[in-house]
Amino acid sequence: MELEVKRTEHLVPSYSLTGDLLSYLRCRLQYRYYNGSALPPSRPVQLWFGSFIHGTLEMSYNYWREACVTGQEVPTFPWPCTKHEWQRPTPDWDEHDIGRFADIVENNLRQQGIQARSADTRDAAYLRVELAVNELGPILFPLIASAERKVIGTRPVPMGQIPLRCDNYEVHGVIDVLTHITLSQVPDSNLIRQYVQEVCAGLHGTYEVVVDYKGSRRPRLDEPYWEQGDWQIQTYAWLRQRQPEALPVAAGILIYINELMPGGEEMRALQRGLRDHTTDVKPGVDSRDAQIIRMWRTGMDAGQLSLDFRLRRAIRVVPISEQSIKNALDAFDNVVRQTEEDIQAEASGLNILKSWSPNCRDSDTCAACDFRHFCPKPTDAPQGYSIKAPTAP
Amino acid sequence: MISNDRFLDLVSASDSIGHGLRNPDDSAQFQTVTYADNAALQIVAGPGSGKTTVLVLRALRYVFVEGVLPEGILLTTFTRKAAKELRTRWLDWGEAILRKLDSSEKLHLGHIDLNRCQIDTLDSIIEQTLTEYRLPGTLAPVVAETSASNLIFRRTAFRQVYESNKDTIDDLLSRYTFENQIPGNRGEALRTTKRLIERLVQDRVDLDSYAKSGHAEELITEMLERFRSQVYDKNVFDFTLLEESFLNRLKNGSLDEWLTELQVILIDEYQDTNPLQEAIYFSLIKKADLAATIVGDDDQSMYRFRGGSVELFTDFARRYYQATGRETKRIDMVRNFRSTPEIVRFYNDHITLDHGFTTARVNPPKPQVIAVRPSGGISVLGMFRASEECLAEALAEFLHKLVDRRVVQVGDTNQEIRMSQEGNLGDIVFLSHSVEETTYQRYNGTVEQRFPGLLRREIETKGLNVFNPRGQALRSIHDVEVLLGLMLLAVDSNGTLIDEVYPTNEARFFLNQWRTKARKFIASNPPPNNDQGLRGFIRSWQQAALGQATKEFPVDWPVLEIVFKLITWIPDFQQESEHQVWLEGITRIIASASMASAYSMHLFQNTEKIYNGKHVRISRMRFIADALIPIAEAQVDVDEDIIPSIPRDRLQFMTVHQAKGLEFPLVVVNVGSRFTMNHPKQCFLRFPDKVSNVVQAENDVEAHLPAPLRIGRGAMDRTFDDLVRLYYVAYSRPQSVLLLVGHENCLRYGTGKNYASRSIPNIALGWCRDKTWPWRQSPTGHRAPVKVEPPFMEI
Repeated sequence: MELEVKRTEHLVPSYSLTGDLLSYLRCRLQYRYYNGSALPPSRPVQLWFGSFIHGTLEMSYNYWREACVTGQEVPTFPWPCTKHEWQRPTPDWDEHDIGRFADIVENNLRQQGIQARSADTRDAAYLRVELAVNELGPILFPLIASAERKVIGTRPVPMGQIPLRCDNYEVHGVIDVLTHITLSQVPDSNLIRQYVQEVCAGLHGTYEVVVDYKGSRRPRLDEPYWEQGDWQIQTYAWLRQRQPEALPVAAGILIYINELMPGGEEMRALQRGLRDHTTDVKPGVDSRDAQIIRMWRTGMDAGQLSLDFRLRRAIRVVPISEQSIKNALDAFDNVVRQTEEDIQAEASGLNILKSWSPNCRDSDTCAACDFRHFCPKPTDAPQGYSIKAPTAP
Repeated sequence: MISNDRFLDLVSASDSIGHGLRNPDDSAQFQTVTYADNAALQIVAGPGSGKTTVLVLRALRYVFVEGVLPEGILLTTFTRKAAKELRTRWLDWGEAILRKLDSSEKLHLGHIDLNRCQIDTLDSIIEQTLTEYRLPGTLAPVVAETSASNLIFRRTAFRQVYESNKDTIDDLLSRYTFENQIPGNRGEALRTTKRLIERLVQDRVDLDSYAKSGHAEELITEMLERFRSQVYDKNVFDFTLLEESFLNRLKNGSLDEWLTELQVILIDEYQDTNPLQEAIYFSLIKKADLAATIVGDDDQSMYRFRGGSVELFTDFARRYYQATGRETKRIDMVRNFRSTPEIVRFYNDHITLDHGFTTARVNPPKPQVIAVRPSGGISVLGMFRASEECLAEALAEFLHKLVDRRVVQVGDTNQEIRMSQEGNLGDIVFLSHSVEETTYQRYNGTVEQRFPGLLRREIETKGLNVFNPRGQALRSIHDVEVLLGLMLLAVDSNGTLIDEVYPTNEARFFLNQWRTKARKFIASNPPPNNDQGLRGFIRSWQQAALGQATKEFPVDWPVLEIVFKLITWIPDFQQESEHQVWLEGITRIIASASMASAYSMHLFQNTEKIYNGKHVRISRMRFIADALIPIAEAQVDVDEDIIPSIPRDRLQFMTVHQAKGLEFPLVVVNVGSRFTMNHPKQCFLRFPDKVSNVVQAENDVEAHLPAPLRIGRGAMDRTFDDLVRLYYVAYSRPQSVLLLVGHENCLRYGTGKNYASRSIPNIALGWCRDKTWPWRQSPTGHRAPVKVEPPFMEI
C-alpha cells in the first residue's frame, strides 16, 4: 500500500494592523523575533508610554461619558492632574483628577512588569496626558461615538511565484476613537471640525472620522512612518465601512501626543524638518514660535511654543477616498505576501537570519532593538560590517 | 435567507468543502448539519467522523438558512490550534458559498461579514469580552501565565500560611503527590497546593463546607481566599479565576450588552469541560436564550488532570434539563473517514473488550465506529524487541528504509508499504506517554537516557532528522545550559548567592552543570572575540556583582537584555527554529517573573552616584530564585506552537495529548519500551494499582460539591478509564498504518494458575482491568505458551 502524503497546512492567518504589519515594515528580522517567536522586549519603554497615554485618555473619556449619561454635572475643563509621587502617600484626588486615572493605569502596567524608564520619562508622560485631556477632551469627547472599536476583515493574499500556506488573510485592528460628526450640530469653533474641513473641503451631512492616538512625534515627510500612518488610517476606514452600522468615513485623524509638549527628540526633528523642508506644519515666518524653535538647544524647555502651534503639530488629518483606501490596502496586501514568503522560506529549511533578512531604515528603532548586537545589517552600518562582541553592561 | 436544499446544493458545489452531505449512508452528518429543532443538539462524534466539518457547516447554515448574523454566533473549542482550524474553514467555506449566491440572494446575504463570528477557545473569548466590556473606572484584566501566577500565589498567600503550618498542610498534600509522599520541597508543595485550589474553583466547591472538613482544608481555603482577594484587587488573573470572574459578571448582568448580540452557541470538545465552564455555558444559554450545539466524544476525554469532567458530557441531557428546563437531542457520528478498517477494528476492540469500561461510556450506548475507507491490505503492525536499544535501532532502520528506498516489506509477507515521491518523514509521527529524551534521577543525582533519546540518536545516525522540542527539559539542552550558565556566572561568580536562595538538590545539580558547561564555553573563546570577547563581558558583570561596577553601568539593568547580548556568542539561538522555541521559554519565565518578583528582573549595581548596598546582592538572588531555579526544576514548558510550520523532513515526536485532533499517514505508538517486568513503579503507566492523585482530589472534594458529580463511578475505575481513553486517542490517529512498539516482554503469556506471574499487565496491549487478557490464546499443551497471539502483525 502507498502512504498518503500528510495534508499541507492551510489556514487564514490573522494579522494585526499595528502589531504585525507596521512592525514588519519597521524591521522584518525584529518582527520575526518579537512577533514570530514572541520574545519579550527587554525594555518595554515605548509600550509603557503608549499604554499609559491610551489608558488614561480612555479612563478620562469614560468618566466624562458616565457623567453625561447619568445626568451628573460634568466637571468643566481643565481638570486637575495631581501626580502620585513615588513613595509618597496617595493624594486626596477629586473624582475627575487626571492623576487618579493615570495612577490606576500605572498600577495596572506595573502588575505586568511595565514601568517608566525614569522619573523624567514619567514626568513628561504626565504633562502630555494632562494636555491631551484638557486641550483635546473638550473638542473631542463630545464627538466620540465609540472608543476602542474592534474592526476585522478578510482579504486575498496577492499571488506570486512561491506557493503559500494561505489564499486569504484576516486583518484586524482597534480604532482608538470613532467620532460621528454632523456638521450642522458641531460649533464652528470646534478645532476638529475646522481641521477636517480644511483638508476635506465640500463635506456635508453626517460622517465618521477615525482617530488614532500615537505616542510619538509627528514624522517628517521623508520618513516611512508618514506614509504608514496614512495607510493605517485608510485601512481602518475600509474595515470600518464594512460594518453594518457604519456611516461614511470622511477622514482620519492621527494625534501625535508628544507634540503637545515637545521634548528634545521632537524639537531636534522639528529643527531638521524645517531646515530640510521635510515637515508639513511650520510656524509662521518671523513668528515667536519660529524664533523659539531656532533658539532651542538640548536641555531647554519647549513649553514656550504656542498652544495653537503645538495643537496643529499634534493633529494630522488624513483625507479618505476610494483610491487612497485601495492604495493602502494594496500596500498592506503586499506586506502580507512578503511575510508569508519569509515564513515559507524558513519552513523550507533556510535559517532565520537569511529568511528574514533585516531591512530597518530607522536608526532610532535599530538603536533600541534587542537584537542589534548580532544583526548582520544594522541601519547605517558601513560596507563590509562585521559583528563585534557586545560590551557590558 | 436561502432554503435548506439550496444551502446543501451550494455546499456540495463548492470544491473546497467537497463532502457528500447527501450521501444516504451518512445520515448522521446530514442530520447534524440540518437539525433545526429547539432542543439542544448533542453530537457524539467518533474519531475521524468529520466533526469539524459538520460544526462549521452547522454554523454556516445558521447564517445562510436561519438568517443569524455571524456576530450572533459563538463557537468555542479547546486549543488555539483547533480554533485556528475552525476559523480557517469558516472563512474559506463561508466565502465560497457567498461567491456562489445568485444576485437576488446576494441582495439579502451579500452584506454579511463572516469575520464577526467569534471562534476561539473559551478562555480567549472570556479575556476578550472582559476587556471589551470592562466596568467603568477599570482596565482590562491582565492574565498571568502559570509561572507568574505561581509566583504571585507564593508571595500573596502560600508563604504566610504554609510556613507556619507546614506539617499539617504537607500531610494533606501527600494525597495528591506523585507517589503519595509528602512534598519533596517547597516548590513541589506550592505547585500541588495551587493545583488543589484550582480544583476547588473549577469544581465550584462549597468552601465553607470544605474548610470545616479538617484543619488542613481550612488552611487551603484560607490560601485560596487570600489569593483570590489579591487577584481581584490587582486585576491580575490566572485562567481559572478569570473564568470565575466572568461567571460572576454574567450573573450580575454587567455583560448583558454583549449577550444581546448572541443567538447561537456551538461548543467543541465538550468532553473536557469542567464544572465552572459548564456553569458559564449554561448561564450564557439561559440568559441569552441561545440555540446550543455541543460536540464531543467521551471516549476521547483526556484532560481530567486539568479539571475536565467527562461526566458533564455523558450526563449532559439530564444536567442541561436541570439547568435550563430544555431537552436535548443526541446524534451519534460513527462513520470514520480517516483510517483503514483494520485500524478501526483494532481500536474498537481496544475500547470494548474491557467490560469494566462499558459503564463509563455515554448512555444509551453508541454504535461502534464504522470504517468508510477501503482496506489497505495491511493489518496493524507490532515491533517488539529484547531491549530499548534494539528497539530503537530496528525502528530507525524501518523508517530509514521507508524514506530512503521508498518501500519496506512487511515482515515475512509479500506486502509492502510504499512512500510516494512527495512523501517524507513529516508524514510519520512517534507517539508516547512521554517524549522526554533524558530524565533526572532524583535519588542518585544522575541523568538517564530514555527511549525517545535512543531513538533520536539512531535516527540521526542514519542522517534523518527529528523534531522534538519537548524532548529534553530546557535544563538539559546543551546550548540552553551554556546560556543559563553564562547568566549564572555573570551574577554569581563564586556560587555564594545560590546557597542563599536554598535550592533543592535537584536544582543545585543542574545549576552546577550549567556553570561547568559555561566555563568550558568561555574557555573556547567563541567569536566574536574582539576586545576580550565573551570573557571580558562576563568579567565586567562579575565585577558589578561584587559591587565594583565600572562607570558605564547605570543603576539597574534588565536581565533580558543580558540574555539577548549573550546569544551573540551562540548563533543557533539566532538562526534555528528549535532554539527559538527554547529561547522563548527562557525569556518567558524571565518576563513573567518581572510581574511578580521583587526588583522586576532588573540587576542593581553600585554606581558613582548611588550606593545600592544590599540591592546589588538581593536583585541577583531574586533572578536566581525566580527565573533560574524554576528552569532547573523543570517547571518551564516550551511552546512549539510559536513555530509557523514544522519542516517536512523531520520525524515529529509527540505526547498523545499533543496529538489529539491530528492525523498522520503512519503512526508509531510506544506501548511499553521500558516495561521489561511487572515493576510496581511503572503500574500507573500501564495498569494502575492505586487511585491516581487527580482522581483522589476529585474524590476528596465530592462531598462538598453543590450536587453529586462523579460518585456514580469508583475511583479505581476512573483511574483505569483515563488509560483506556489515552490509548484510544493514540490508536485512532493513523490514516493507513498503525505500528505499536515495545519491549518483547510485554507479550509474555505468563505462568501459574492465573498466568499473572511473569506477565506485564498493560491496558494499551488489550488487558482488561479484571486482569484477564483476551489476547491470550487457550493453552493447548501442558505448559503455558511463551507469548500471546496479538491481534497485529509482528515485524
